[in-house]
Amino acid sequence: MESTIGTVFDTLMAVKKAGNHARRLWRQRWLLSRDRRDFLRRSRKRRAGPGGLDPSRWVALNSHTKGSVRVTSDRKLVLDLPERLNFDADYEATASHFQMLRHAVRGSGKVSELRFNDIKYISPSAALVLASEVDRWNQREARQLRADIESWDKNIERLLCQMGYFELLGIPCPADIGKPARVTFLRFKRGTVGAKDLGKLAQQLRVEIEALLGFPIKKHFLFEGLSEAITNVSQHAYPDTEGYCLKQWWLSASYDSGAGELCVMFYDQGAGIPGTLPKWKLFERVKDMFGTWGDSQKIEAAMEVGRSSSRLKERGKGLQNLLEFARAHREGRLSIYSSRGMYRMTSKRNGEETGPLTTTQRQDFENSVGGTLIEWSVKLASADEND
Amino acid sequence: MKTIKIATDYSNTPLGRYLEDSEFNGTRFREEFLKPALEKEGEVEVDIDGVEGYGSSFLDEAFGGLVRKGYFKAAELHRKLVIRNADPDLALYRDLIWKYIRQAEARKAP
Repeated sequence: MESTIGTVFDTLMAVKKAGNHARRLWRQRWLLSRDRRDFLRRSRKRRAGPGGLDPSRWVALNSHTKGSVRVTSDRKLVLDLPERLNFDADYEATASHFQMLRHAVRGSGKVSELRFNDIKYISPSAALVLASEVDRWNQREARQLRADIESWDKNIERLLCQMGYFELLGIPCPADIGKPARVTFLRFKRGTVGAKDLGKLAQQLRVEIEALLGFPIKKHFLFEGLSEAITNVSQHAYPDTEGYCLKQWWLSASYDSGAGELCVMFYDQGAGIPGTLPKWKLFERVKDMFGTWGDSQKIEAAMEVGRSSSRLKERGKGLQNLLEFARAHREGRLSIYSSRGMYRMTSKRNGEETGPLTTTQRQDFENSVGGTLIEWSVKLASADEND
Repeated sequence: MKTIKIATDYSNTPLGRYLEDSEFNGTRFREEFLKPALEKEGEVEVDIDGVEGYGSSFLDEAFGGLVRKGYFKAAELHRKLVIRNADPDLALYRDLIWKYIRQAEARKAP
């Protein structure tokens, strides 16, 4: 009897001990999480500054964009653009500032001003990507960004005016934009996937280019490249599974009269070529799994004839068409920036008898271009040569 | 012989493969213009002049698609179809059309 009572007592004591232990553990964990919460709250307040708003909560910041965001007293974001926006020479700074702008526009809608005051140079392609971001902002928010144009560099003001930027900002182009510059930009065009006659936009751009140059260009090759770029966006860039609400692309051109160089740019904000490329070969699947198949290699692979995300044998000729406009000139270059990679084909002709000498180049980056940017750059020698 | 002039009868900016790509795509041209004309007429001449240009998606779907869909064999098309161009710059597109027809036939063969 005594031994039975002893066993019951021991059991009750063990249960009580276990309960106390569990309570202690639970309290310790609660105290830790409370301290962690307090610590995070305090550090967020420290970072947020006087406005009480932490920019890093709204935009993606990295070493290139760290000092480019300010918070106003009315809890709005002011974004500063860097001195040079150029994918060729300053890729990381350019791409990360656009990434910052994209995050701010899509994520919070708290951007009040985009400052161009520091910009001294903007390349044609960077200008198109910037225009696409602001255009998207206008469509989403149905209101214009504020801009302090008084302090802009005159060259930048002229460029942005030519490109149709002032219309995006909802302000008239200044009457006096100074003497004509070496580089002339054409107003950008926006196409929407599924819209009626998208080929007309490509034709319109060609007509504007010829009006600017005063002589005809190799229009069939240009249309071949642009029509395939447009088709690729329609077929691959905005997969239905990703939930894109605006399926658009932007198109523009510029002419540098000093260098005799015509530049045609096409940009979409889709999933990018690396994101939609099928992995056919076993080694590609393995490399992709271990993260050693870079985006530039994926773009290069997509240039192979017959490689298409549709996996249909008749498809996958389109990207090859992009090369033709560059190859048709004495000197031509096709650059494709997509996600975090770049693929470039340079073509040079020494005479009419021999075919062009072609070289290719690839590069991988830290920051994404936010879709796919295609840039054709060709040297135009004279009217006769281009006729 | 019936003549279809793409630039005036269809569009001078033909673009894309499928209906969703653009209004004047290759599928629509094949189904509404090329196939009915080839079925009804003995011979059809397609005039490819006067356009802005052609992308491979349009040409492959419009012409290669005739074979892929099983409407005609490549040999039949060689008898019935004439591709005409006066603009020498467009000769390469004429060659591409026949190339896509040949490729479609080769892929169909068991």
